[in-house]
Amino acid sequence: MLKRVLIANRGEIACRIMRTLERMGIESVAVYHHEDRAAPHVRMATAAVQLQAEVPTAAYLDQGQLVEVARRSGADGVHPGYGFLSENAAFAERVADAGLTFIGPDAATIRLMGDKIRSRDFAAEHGVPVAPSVIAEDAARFAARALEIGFPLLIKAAAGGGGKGMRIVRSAAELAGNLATAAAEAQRYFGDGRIYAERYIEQPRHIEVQVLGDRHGNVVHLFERECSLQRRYQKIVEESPAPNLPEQVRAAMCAAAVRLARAARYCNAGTVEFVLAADGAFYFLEMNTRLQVEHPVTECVLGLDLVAEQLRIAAGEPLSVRQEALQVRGHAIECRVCAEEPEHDFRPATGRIGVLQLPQGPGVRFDGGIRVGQAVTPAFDSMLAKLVAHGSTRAEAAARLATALADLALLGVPTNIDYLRRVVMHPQFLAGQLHTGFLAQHAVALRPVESPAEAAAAAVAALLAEPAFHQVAFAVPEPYATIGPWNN
Amino acid sequence: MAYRIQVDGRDTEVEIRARRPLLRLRIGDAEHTLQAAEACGQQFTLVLDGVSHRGWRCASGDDLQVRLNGRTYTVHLVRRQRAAGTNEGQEEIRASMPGVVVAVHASAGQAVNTGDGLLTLESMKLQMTIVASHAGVVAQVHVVPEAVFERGALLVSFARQEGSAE
Repeated sequence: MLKRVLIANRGEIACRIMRTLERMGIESVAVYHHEDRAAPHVRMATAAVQLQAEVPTAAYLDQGQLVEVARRSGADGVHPGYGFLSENAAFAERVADAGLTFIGPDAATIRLMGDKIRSRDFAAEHGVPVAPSVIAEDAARFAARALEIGFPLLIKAAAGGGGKGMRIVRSAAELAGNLATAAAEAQRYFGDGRIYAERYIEQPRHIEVQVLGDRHGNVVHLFERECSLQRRYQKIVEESPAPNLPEQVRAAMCAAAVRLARAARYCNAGTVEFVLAADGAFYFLEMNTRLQVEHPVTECVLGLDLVAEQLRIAAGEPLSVRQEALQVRGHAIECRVCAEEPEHDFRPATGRIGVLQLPQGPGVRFDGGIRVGQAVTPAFDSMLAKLVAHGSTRAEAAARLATALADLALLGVPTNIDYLRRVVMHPQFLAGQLHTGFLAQHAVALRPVESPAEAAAAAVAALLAEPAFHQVAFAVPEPYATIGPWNN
Repeated sequence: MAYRIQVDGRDTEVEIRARRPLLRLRIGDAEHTLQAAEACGQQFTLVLDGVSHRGWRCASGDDLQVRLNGRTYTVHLVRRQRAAGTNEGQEEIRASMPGVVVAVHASAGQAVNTGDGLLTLESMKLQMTIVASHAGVVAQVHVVPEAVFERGALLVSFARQEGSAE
């Protein structure tokens, strides 16, 4: 087993990895930029080394420096976390070339899955469904292929970008006319009349399957996660298992993910992402060759520690679990707590954390890497922490999460906490009616509800914190009662 | 007098209607009575209209965040005098409620500093001194002692200062 692991990351995931290292008796080495010098991941680690860089994010992306620090600090392994260098094949290679263990798949696998076209072809070759598409210059042949794909069909200029010239065709009768118009438009706008068509998926769901593979040829899947709730193309609420998912679809997805991992001789933790259509058809999107942000929901329902599995696999040990022994227990939902303003198009917010009170209660897990006094700056991602609730049923998990979100006090910077609470209490969420357009579809219903009595109490609480007001209200004799500079 | 605040971006007025025996406030169109208030660090408890509220408050930029019953309210205290309904070239103070003028402390042409008393008014048996919210020159005092005024009446106007945005 490894003895000392450098974590090439920061924030909640660095802290998350350190908790497992500590439990396994493995020392940890933290790295940090000057701006993060008082961050919890620095304090938690056995040793911490400052990285030199002008721009904070550049520090965590400096491969040469990270490998050098790992060697000098006596680490025998490097965990990349997620984001930053976690899917960088060159970094995995440099770590291995330095004689250290990279805690993730090998560079060749990262490279294969990191290439959109190669990974899609690889998936198709190994019987993993990919979204049918066709590109052709010959209108007659194109129409025949398009009919095979079926409806609704999305057609667009092959050379085009964005939404220009994009149209949805819902029946064979509409096809010929739309093709002719689209081709003419494509020629006019892009000087290239070729048309591209693919299956149009209405209200798609985003479902992914967690897999683990070891050096001994064992591959297991850890079931699926539903990740359909997204804003700005980023997930904010994830859960396992996926609600309202027919058993045969779940089985087919998991089998496809295992097939892909086996074909790639996948070694370590990885995630196969699929898009799911309402009719149960699903298509490969990509494979993430790292630990996912949302891995805790899988850990909750399976009672597993994914980081521990990653470390074991990296150390050459066989998987600790067999597929038959893996059983989903209950339901877990995670939400990402971000410094942002949902009422203003989720724009990222900054500030300084002044209050941090964590929720308690059965089945509640808070994965954070923040502290009171910490500045939230635009230098890093806006995600501050993850709140996860596990329950025996989905309804119980959702109720526990709603309560935990209400009990979480994180002040000093605007956050999406209240918005997340409204999401997990929304009737359509509770009914499991999820798709990637959910948050946009229910945008109005997800706005805060007016509560005049509570707003008045909040106003009074704020006024009483103002010394000038407090003095006028309680201390100053009548004739002099005035509110200093605070009048109107 | 009324104080302007914003709760979650919404403008509202707060007015002290009585200070004894209990603090009575008008917030927007509703009257509220504060029965008790206690604070320990950033945590507070208050009893408003017989309902007990416990929560946390914390500065967030120029605002104050108040977390109450699992919900965060953002309260902004409007400190600078706003020239609502400004006349050409002037800033002015208008009455936010009807009352009577007790005393006049300033006169036309007088330079005043922030916090200087301008008028003492009495409304609803509550006397208050209107002070200058910023340094400036008084253009005109529109009322005299004993004068009775209605809500919205023009009380004092200021000469406009160069570079003053508001």
